[in-house]
Amino acid sequence: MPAYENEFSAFPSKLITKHDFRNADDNIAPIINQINSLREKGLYGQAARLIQANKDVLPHYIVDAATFRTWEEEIFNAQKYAKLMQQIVYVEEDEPDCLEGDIWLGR
Amino acid sequence: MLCNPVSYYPNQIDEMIFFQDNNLENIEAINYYNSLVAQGNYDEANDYINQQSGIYGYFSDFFNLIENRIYSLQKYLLEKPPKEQPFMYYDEKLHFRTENISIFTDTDEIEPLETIQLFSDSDVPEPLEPIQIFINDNEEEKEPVISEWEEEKEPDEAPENTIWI
Repeated sequence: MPAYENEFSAFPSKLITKHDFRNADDNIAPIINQINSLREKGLYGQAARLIQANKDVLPHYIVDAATFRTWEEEIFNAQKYAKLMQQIVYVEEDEPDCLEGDIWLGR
Repeated sequence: MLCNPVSYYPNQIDEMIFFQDNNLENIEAINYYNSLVAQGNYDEANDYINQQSGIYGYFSDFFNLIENRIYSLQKYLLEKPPKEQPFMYYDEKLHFRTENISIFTDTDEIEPLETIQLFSDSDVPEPLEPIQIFINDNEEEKEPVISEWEEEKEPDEAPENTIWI
């Protein structure tokens, strides 16, 4: 079996979970600004509690490192899965990057 | 609309968006959008930017576009039936001489067998002579089924997508 990355992605067991991103609007902006303000003052505990209280809505408005890592893993796993869908026969002089089940015919 | 976040894959390949920095041609639009945000007029800022085109930035449309394309590709892959591996399995112990093998290119010219090399895990070329195919070592040795190759007849049990040598 290929080594899938499963820290943020569950593919191929599960499709990517879409965030349904939204631009900040008048309703969520005061909360986000308050979180940022608390962080700037070093009040991380209060900021964390505010995030926890709004955990259902905030993911629609926040793109952070975890989001990009998730996308990277989803694409990585999809590429691995796609390569496994059919056996590849390589006819190359140098050993290619074969996966299990592929065939390499050297010259 | 900044961009269409809908993915049409696999009915068609989604068009590239060529995400780029904003330039002097659209700096006024960006500045106006930023001024609305700075004033706290988020809804108005959203309405304004969504009416623009050719503007790039960290807007929800672009992020949704990425996730929708990943989702479509993954869904397509999971719904696609797996191809059969083109292996040929025989249910009996089989010995055959390598002289019985011919390799043809797409020009129908026989290729010399000397070009074939087998490698062990240590990347050392293995001699071709002692090649034997064993399917089940517990089975009693049987006469080799060479006739299929000699008659140049496709094996009956060859499923679709199988390479027949």
